[in-house]
Amino acid sequence: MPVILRIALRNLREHRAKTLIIGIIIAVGIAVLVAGNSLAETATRGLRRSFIDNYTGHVMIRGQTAKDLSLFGFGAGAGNEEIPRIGSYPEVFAHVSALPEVAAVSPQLTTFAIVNADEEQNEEFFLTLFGVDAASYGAMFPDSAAIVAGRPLAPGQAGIMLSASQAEEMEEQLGVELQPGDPLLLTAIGGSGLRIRELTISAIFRFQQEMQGLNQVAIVDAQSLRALAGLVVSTGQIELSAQETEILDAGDLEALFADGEEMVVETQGAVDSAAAGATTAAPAAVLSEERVLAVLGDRERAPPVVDAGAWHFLLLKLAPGAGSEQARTQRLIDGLNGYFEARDIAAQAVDWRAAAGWFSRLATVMQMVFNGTVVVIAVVAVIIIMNTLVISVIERTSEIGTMRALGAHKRFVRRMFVVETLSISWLFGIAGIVLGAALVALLGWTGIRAGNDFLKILFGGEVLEPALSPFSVVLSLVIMTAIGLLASIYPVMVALRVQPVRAMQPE
Amino acid sequence: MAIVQLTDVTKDYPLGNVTVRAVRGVSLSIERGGFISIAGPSGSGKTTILNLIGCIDTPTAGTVTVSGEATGDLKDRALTDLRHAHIGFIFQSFNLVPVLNVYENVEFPLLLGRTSLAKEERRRRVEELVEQVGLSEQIGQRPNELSGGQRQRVAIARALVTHPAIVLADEPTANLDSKTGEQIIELMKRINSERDSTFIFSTHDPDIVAIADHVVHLHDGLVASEQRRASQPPATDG
Repeated sequence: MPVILRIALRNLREHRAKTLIIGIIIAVGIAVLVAGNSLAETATRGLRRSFIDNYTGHVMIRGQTAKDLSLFGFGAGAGNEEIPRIGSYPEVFAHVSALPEVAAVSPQLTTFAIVNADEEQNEEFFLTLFGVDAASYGAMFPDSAAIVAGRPLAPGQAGIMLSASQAEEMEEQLGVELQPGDPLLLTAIGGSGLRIRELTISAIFRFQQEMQGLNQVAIVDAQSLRALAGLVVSTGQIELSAQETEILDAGDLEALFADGEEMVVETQGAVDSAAAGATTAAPAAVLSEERVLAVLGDRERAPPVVDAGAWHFLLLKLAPGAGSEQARTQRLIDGLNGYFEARDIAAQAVDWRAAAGWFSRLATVMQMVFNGTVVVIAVVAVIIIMNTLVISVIERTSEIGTMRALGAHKRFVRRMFVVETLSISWLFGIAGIVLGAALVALLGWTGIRAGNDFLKILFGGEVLEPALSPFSVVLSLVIMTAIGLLASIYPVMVALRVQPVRAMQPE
Repeated sequence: MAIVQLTDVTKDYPLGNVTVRAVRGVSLSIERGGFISIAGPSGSGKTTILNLIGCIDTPTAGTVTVSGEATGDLKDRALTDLRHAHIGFIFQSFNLVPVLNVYENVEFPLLLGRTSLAKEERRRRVEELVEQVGLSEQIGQRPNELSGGQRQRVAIARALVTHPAIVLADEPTANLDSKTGEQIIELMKRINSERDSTFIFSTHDPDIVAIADHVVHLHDGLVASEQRRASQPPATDG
């Protein structure tokens, strides 16, 4: 064994108390790092798998935006901005569908709505609406939800599917019992204008991963969502029927927008007329409550203005292939973005993290918090080791002076202290890795049950069974080395200032 | 030929706001193979002269030449190499590395050089010296398991292991009882006669002064007197 290492190890053994104090700090810090990162990495992996398999696919194509846009809409700071549509959608769809590395494709829309109870109670219930193409959505995410009651939306069928927890909460808040087949009046929020639409509950389902936030998601048919979100083609493209043209031509527009009081009176009259079986409608009757509700409730009246080709998102699933899934995903994203740029298509390809929005960021934030804690422990360890070593240098001034007098160069002294700090960092750091790995193994064996919704999101499910993260082991080795090197800088400077003449001076 | 030459050497030390002149223009010539005593009362400059000869300090003025090399202009690295190649040290407080055993302490200087000896050659040298100083049985013991005299024997063996031209000993018997001190002096004298090393002591021990070939008496940083015994060549100091 080289003399420097021999001296370092024996000095550590000689000063057991100091060595143990420093060592325990390092070992605990490294154990926290290993266990924390393993937990976070397992959670992220679970969250990733869960989202890719059930909600986002591997890649999401969205409309062009510089802002943070996920399947759940814009992140903070976007205000009331409308979600952009994918530009040149038919071309994009045709392109991705033809790619051999893409196994499944499903377009999607997102908007937000509230369900109102009766006006007196003034109760509201918030919903995030996913507008889907039922056939491709079902094929792409076959296991994402289990039907509790009713039937899933069939291709071409209009309606809404509510999550079970959503339905229970609504029943509690709104005081009504919800069943498949019941109508639900939705008021779209966000974007421009106020749009109300009645949809029939098609099914009540339960997401495979029940999480706060995800439970607010309801699935509706794409056409209904477009109507709610105001995704319309320009009015120049609308072909009005002869009857509609006649109504507009015959009507007195000033009378249509007369003051409220007059309109209320006339509306009431119209309702009465309707109740009496009147067949002709005065212009004011066009705006009667009954008629408005009848139009909104009858989706056959809406399609002429809805842009049937508008999609916010296109979700892709990778075909199985050789190599890492993440690398293949990134290659696909890069290829798609290159394609969009080359053809000046207003679309962007992003990964599941961007698609999952704040759900994925939560795990990252937790990992950062863990690492922040470890950095604090590392700084404390560096200071304590440094302080202890400086004392050690002062105590060993005569020894250092003697070594220098006997012919030891400064580099020998430098190495002696660096090896000493690295020895302590490595010895106890490895003990910390073993401790952390044992803790991870124990937690992996017992499993950690998510006690609340926050942890469910964080764990990506009900139970987290952490596995040792190789990255955290490598990171620990780097941190251990960094602690050793950083902690030795100042003591080495002090040691190098010791002159050989100190050997001659009494201690 | 002089192995050590001091010419009009001055050494100043800052002490707070004042400067203390420890050595005031000393000139001295020491011949190879001698047993030299630098004697004088406390504060006379003995240790300072030893430090300058040992290249662990440099003069404020004047020239110190060791084994033909003027030390004043040498950088730290060159001074270290010079010490390692030509000088062995025996300290008043023994100054052994506490975590190394007898064998390892004696071997230590052999591990510091730019070119290292083969392991077998190191072992041969160390074991020969340990036997010479009478510590073969204690070869695996740590310094804290040895008596003061035994520690000083280890220090003597360590000082000689690189076969230095000069061995410097700073008050080598000061921390020993008189009987042990005598044994140490006898040992050094014997080694001096067996080897071609020059032994230079700073001491006020009259026993050492009595057996020295060449005695330099210092007083207040100046050479007060110098005696050379029959076996020594004539003095050349200025």
